[in-house]
Amino acid sequence: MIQTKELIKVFRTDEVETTALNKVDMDVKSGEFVAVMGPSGCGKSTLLNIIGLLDNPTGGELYFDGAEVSKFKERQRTNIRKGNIGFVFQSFNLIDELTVYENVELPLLYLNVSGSERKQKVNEVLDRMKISHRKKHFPQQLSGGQQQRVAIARAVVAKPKLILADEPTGNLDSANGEEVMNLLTELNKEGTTIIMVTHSPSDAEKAHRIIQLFDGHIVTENIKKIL
Amino acid sequence: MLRNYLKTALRNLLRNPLYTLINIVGLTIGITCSLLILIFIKHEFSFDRFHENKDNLHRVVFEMVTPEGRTISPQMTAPVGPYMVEAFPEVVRSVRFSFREDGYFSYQEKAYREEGLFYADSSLFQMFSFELLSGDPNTALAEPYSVVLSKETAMRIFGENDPLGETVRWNNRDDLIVTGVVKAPPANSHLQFSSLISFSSRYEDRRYYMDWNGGMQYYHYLELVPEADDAALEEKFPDFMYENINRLYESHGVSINASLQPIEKIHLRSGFVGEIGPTGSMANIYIYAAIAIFVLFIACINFMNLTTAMATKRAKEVGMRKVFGAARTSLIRQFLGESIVMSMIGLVISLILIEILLPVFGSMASRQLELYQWSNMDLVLGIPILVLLVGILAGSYPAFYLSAFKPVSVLKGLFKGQKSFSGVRNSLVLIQFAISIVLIICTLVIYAQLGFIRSKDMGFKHDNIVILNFTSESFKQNYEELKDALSGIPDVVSSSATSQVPGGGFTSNGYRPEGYDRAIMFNKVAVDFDYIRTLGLQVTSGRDFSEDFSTDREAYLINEALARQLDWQDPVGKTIYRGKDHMVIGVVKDFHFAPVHQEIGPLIFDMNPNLGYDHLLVRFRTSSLGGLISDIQKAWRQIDPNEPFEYHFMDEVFGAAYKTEQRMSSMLLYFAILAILIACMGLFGLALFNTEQRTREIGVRKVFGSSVSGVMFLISSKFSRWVLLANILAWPVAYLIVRQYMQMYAYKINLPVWIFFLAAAGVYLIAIITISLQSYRAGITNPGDALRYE
Repeated sequence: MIQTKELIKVFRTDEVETTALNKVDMDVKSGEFVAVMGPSGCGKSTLLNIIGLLDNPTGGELYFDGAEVSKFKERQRTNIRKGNIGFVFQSFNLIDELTVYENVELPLLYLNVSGSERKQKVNEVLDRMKISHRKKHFPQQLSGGQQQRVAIARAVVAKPKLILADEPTGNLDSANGEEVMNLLTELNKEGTTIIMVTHSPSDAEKAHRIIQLFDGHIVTENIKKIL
Repeated sequence: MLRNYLKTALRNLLRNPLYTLINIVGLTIGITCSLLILIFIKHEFSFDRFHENKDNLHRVVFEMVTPEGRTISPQMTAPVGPYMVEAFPEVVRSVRFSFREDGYFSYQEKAYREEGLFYADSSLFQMFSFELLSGDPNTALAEPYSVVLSKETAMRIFGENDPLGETVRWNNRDDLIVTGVVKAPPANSHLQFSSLISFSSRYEDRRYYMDWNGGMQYYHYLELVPEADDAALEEKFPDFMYENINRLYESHGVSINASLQPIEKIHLRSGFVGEIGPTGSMANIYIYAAIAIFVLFIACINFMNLTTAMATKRAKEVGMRKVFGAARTSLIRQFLGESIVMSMIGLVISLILIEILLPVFGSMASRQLELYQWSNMDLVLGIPILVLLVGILAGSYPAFYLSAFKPVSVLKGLFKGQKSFSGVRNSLVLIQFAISIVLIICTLVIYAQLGFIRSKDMGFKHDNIVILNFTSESFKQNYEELKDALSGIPDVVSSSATSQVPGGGFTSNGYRPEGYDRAIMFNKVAVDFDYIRTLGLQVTSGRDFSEDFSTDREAYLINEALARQLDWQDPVGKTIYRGKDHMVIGVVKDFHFAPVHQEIGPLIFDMNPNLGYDHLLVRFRTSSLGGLISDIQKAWRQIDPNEPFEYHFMDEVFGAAYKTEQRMSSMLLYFAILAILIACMGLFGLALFNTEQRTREIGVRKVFGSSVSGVMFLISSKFSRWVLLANILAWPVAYLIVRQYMQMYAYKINLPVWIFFLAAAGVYLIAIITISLQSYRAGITNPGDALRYE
């Protein structure tokens, strides 16, 4: 589903040039659950952003479902992102001005899903995430765990093929973290491909394989389980 | 999707009430000011467009060229219009108007004051679309001594009774038969009259000279055939004028050129000598339009600044929308929509404010302004478009700015403090303050100039003078009786009869001074023996008129300006010819008999009022005005109990001459205050935002020893730099505008440099106070709180 060939990302300022990714080759099959680990600044989030088409690489190739997308313009990237990729962030990134229901509804709005269908899908996913009773609340009125459940609901409501999770449990206590990981595992079992950046070895254990990044290189690909 | 946008917008507005308030108040003030001005400008351009025949209606304008210069006036001698109808097949008909008269009608021994009466030709109702409520439009003004009363006058005199066929007396002189009742002209007619007397009556009155070469006091309007070529017709005018009048003046080096002025252009493109009524001016339109644009622009800048400053608060929203599939265009639409919603809110409040303010603004502009009327439909329908444009103007920059956020940058927190954008914001603040400073400088200069005029020595004592107006023959003939009666009142110092009151300027005639072989135009005023004394004028050589010399009734006094113009070193004893030789017996020190805009012109004082004296000037020395006026009224009643007693103070007459400037300066002042207010609200918002952004920095600085004043300096210095820079930008612009304005005046203040510094200091002070409110709060915050907050 996702393939990178010699992926390079360089950040430049006036005086400093930082290579965040240095010729990264990786391959993620459909239905896989991959954890990306490594020390701070090793390029994990950069890799996730590029795979999520939020950013373009400086060099190399990126294939999404067989199509080379690394040179795509913003509009083309947006079109692929819509409906195909869901995102979960460490700091949840819910829109403060929107209610739980409206936050979850957002991806469907950009997919031009009809009102009745939206309502049905949002309610379904909120039920599944056990957060329906909070649907009229604003993000600040929820606990961290609840906020992350909403963020996951938002990520999966459009039934994307791929979920990218950037330290999804980083801001949660262990109980809530456990719950979020169970949700992700469940989604993966249902067929959703998941790439997750994490610092937590126990969370990484839940993945099929763990990729170790160091200074922009992949240092180990620990294949834990075979599909 | 729209609902989602609206919800987000509204919740954002409510979450940041202070910014919202600043934005909405700013936009509301901007929209209100510009709509008020737009209504005024629309009104100004609507003048005389209500005539069905408007495309064929013209006024004849005359340019008199003499060796001394040229003057343009719509006034000419009586025969022009009818002669043009005879001479040119393109001219269908003409209407003549006399100059405005005030006086009184009497009916059944009661007197009714009438202001704004004109003599007019019978073709009036065929040419113009004035509404004749009763009477025959073809004949109402045909016969001599017929009168068409204004509806209001007819109601006052006759109540509900039919006035047609009744006889009323005008100024205790002419008996007139009522032949019609006319509705008052619309407010946007340059011709504003009350009642109308048939022009043919003038030919019956031997006091008026109605031939080609005398009595340049009539206004001529022509109706042309629809297919007429105006330019081709004008080409025939020189021959026509030569044949009828210029050949008489040729030897004096004087010629009069006629031209056509479309009726719709009279109001805004005239301002000639001797206009039939007050006119507007394109200069005013430009000034008001500039103010409207400026104030609206300042409000838009506020919106842009605050919205982009606030953008960091919305970066996450933008980032997430993009992550979940929003294209940039949809975000641009979202943010433009928000600014349009804001300006719509501003519009709704503005429309309420306009309802309240329009009458006030109208009275300041001396206009009857209405928004909701049929002729303003285009304006009413255009308002939403204007507001849409304001929304787009104010929202476009923020929309493009916000929608350009990259989700990755938002996730990394890199959107804060984008230098290029804070540079744009600062430049916008700079423009705001530059505009405000220009407005303030212009206002202060106008005020200083008006103050200078008011305090300028007019060359005579214009305080403590009451003006009585004569309308009927009884006073014109018996003014000396009134003078005698008044001299018995202890507080009356002296009184003098005169043909015109100084202040508004005097009429002029052609005179041939000794040593000249041609006539020259001089101002002239008819006075009696007590004039010099009553006005407190000074005779610098020769002597005043005196009853001791029987020949003085034929003699002239002249002013110094006339002696200078003729280069007469010793004018006393010289003669000036007008019909016969008149001896100059004295020279009067120059005084301002016309508005101070104009240089003091040459003036002749004579004792021959053509149609009798029109005014009595009464100098008094009391503070108990009530008693004095009632004593004067008693004396008045003794002469003619029927003529209404009317009086004015000369100071008021002088004040009226500067009314336009006063109005303009107070309007400018209000708008300048509003502009500064909006600019300061924006500055306050930016300072507030800047402080919020720098909470952590302030906390750290305080931890390491910064004082409250140090923090205040930190925040203020950034803004003060821009405000100071605004002055450098504003001064040259203000200088050019002010220099242009001062050219209107013959006597003016030296361009006061202190005003520039005062404006600079004033704006700087206001800005610093505004910022200090915020920076002080930041300065006194406990550093621990600041750091915890972060």
